[in-house]
Amino acid sequence: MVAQTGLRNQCGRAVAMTVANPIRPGRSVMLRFNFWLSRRVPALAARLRKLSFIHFARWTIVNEFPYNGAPQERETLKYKYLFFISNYNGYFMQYIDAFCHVVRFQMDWIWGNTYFWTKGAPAGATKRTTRRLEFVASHYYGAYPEASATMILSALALKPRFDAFHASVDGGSAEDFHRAYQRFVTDVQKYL
Amino acid sequence: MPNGVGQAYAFMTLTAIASGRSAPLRTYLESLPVGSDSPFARLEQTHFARCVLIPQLIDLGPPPEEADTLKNEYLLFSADFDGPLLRFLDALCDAMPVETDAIWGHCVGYPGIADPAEFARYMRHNQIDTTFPFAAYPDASVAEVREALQLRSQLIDFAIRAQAMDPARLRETYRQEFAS
Repeated sequence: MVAQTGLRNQCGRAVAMTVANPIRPGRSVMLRFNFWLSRRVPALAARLRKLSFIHFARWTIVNEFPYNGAPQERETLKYKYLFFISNYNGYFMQYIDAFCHVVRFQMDWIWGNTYFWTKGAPAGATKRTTRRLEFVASHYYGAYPEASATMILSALALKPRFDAFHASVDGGSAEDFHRAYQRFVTDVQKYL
Repeated sequence: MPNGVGQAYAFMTLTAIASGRSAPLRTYLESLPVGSDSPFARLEQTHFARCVLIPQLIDLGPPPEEADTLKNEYLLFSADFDGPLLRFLDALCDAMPVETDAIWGHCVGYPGIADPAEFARYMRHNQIDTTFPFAAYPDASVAEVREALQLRSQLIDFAIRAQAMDPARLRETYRQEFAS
């Protein structure tokens, strides 16, 4: 599957997304509470796992930009910012579609506290807005560029099953091995 | 640990770029080899890494009526790696010293990697804690992911060929290909 984005945002199948929304005044506390709750009631993570093409993602509230002394000028920002950084595989359009349809409530719950969020709008509006908010990476690296998140989850599920099979077939006749192998393949075919 | 999810660590820094240095930094970053030749490939614990230049915050308003204007340009660096953080920061110094100096050398106050403790202090000063990290496979290291993918690929290839094998040949071929 080829991603539809700038090449610098892409490493094999993996695609980088980096967006930042200003947080509405007074909403950062609510936003932090929502994330705190999401850590303890893992419904959000569970729903995100249904979006089977995300490898890693994170939301980060930026209260202020770090200051390293002169000649850097101190920032005087009116807003706090919500950065969303994601590593996914596939098409941008499908990615946003899935967000809008599978985790719409959770996204409203989070991005509804920011400006530029297209609450209640069709997915097309969310795609256009997200594209305009996106920062393109100047360099992007992924450690396993040819693997989708689904392939990785399948591979990780397969490994212990194979180890168990492998440990169980030492000895016995060729026919015994054949039967055990057929059972193993039937058991793990959804991971292949 | 706000940045941790399973054994993985979600790291992000925002570092001010020195005046007039944004263009050469962008040129340098875009000239770096990619894929397995990327300098970050030398950091074996790194799942993903990116360098993003933020010349200005993006405003799609109104609303809000008044937009923020940054006084500096910033380098956003983020990485997802097998923790802990200090091991990753040491690896930036040890495995890609030239590139690390070349990248952050464009940033205000960068101390260089000659003193790894000072380098780590600088990076942590510019770190923004993650509010909510997500990982699809939080407990798998890079090495474990690669090993599992390699095994899956090997098993798929074997399963296709095995369809035409009688039991004796199947067992023999399996032993040859999957010997411990």
